[in-house]
Amino acid sequence: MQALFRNPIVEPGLIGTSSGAAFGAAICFVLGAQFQWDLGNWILPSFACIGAVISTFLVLILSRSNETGASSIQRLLLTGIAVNALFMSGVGFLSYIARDPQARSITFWNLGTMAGANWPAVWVVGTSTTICLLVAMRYAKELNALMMGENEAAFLGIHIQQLKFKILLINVILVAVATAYVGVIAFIGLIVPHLLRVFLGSDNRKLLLNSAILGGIILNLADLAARLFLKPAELPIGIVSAVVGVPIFIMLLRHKNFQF
Amino acid sequence: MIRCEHIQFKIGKKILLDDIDCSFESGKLNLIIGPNGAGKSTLIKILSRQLQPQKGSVFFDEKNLLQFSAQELAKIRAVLSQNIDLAFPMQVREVVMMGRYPHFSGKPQKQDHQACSEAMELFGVTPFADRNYLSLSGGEKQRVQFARVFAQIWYKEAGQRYILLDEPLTFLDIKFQYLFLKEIKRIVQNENLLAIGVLHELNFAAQFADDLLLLHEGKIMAKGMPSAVLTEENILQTFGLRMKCQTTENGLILSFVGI
Repeated sequence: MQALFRNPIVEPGLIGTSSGAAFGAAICFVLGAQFQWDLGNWILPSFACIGAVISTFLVLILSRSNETGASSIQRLLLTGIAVNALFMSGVGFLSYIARDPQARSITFWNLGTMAGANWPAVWVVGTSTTICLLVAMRYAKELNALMMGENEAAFLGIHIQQLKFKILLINVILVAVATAYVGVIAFIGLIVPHLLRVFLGSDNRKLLLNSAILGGIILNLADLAARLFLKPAELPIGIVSAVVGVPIFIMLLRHKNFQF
Repeated sequence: MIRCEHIQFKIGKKILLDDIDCSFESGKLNLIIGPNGAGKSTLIKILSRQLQPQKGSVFFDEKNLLQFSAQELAKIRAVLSQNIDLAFPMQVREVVMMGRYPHFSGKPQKQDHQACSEAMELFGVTPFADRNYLSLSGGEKQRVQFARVFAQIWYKEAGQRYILLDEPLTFLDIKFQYLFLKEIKRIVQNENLLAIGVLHELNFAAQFADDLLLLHEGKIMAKGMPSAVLTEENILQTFGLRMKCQTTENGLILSFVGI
């Protein structure tokens, strides 16, 4: 996504995907309590997934214009911030009206948790991630060319609008499915690509796969820390990833090899 | 040959180009000149298919520009703009390789590597091939971009190849401007490329162009050899500037007189 938007601050939270998922999950918690649903393996993820898709497409539709280049990307990011604020206030409202255990579930889910991990969930997330990653890697070259700007990429024979649509679609599936199972986990999507750029450079052919691998490793380390720190209680993983991620990210920003 | 047939382009009611009807030949350095707002950029954007004219069409050797697929066009036509920057750091060698992207899928082939290293050698990029593009100076960056666009259309087997230059010398100092124009002209002649460029600097245009197109308020004011186009009346009429045009042993030289 950072390559697509040619912008170093982009992460899935920024175009509405994560907040939509959180809103979907919150609705599910509140309605579930109301109608005594068994939240099982499928209902919560489905709600989150639908929320993510709706909010992302809302951002895309609202930010559509005939412009190309930097202004269209700025418009998209600003729309994303606005839609995010809307959905997060929706989440806030739902946790306000929810009764105590549901409100706690919503908060907990928003901070991310791997407590619900089980094998069916691993299969679903694993499959969607593998497929999306393989498809995404086919577009690594195009994403590289896009670093020079949309016009220059078009001169190299790339259909910009098609590429944008495909990448965003892959991205929504990838993020929506993963978020649906583990909640919103801060910072991983932002810092992992930057961390890799310091060591590998910005070639997307190397970055895509390695981001997925390193992201997974860091997430598991964070999870381990979350489980050990307050043993036997479990800390929400989003807190760990932010507490560890923020200092790393700031160190990275001050690193001499790091530049935009 | 690139042929423009009665091109008209307007935004709203404002006509930016009106009835542009001309052709450009290969093996020559074709340059477009004119004051700000004359339509130079618009014309080069139509030739590079960034803009579609409302009337008229462009032909690349008998084939309508609109009939090329993006991929097909990218293999034979390169475009160089001014001041290209990257969103993220990248090795110079990889930036040049982007020029070969239209030619391979998956991994670059032997001829792609060869085109890149020859193009880098030609523009003196090889010494800093491993450096980060973003750490280069303006002149070095533009050299990398020259290497990239020439790598894109490196091989003769592709047939007629076209290169469009959209003010490629802006932000370069005068020595680099001179060196680049000389180099471009040499390659265009040796390789029989079809080159069309937009240039601001009239003295460079006078000395290097084989064929000049002078635009004024969206219309063709004059076209042909520099000595026929850059006359004192033409310059006064289009730029509103009095200049003295002298032919010396160093070619045509323009000097300011006043307004």
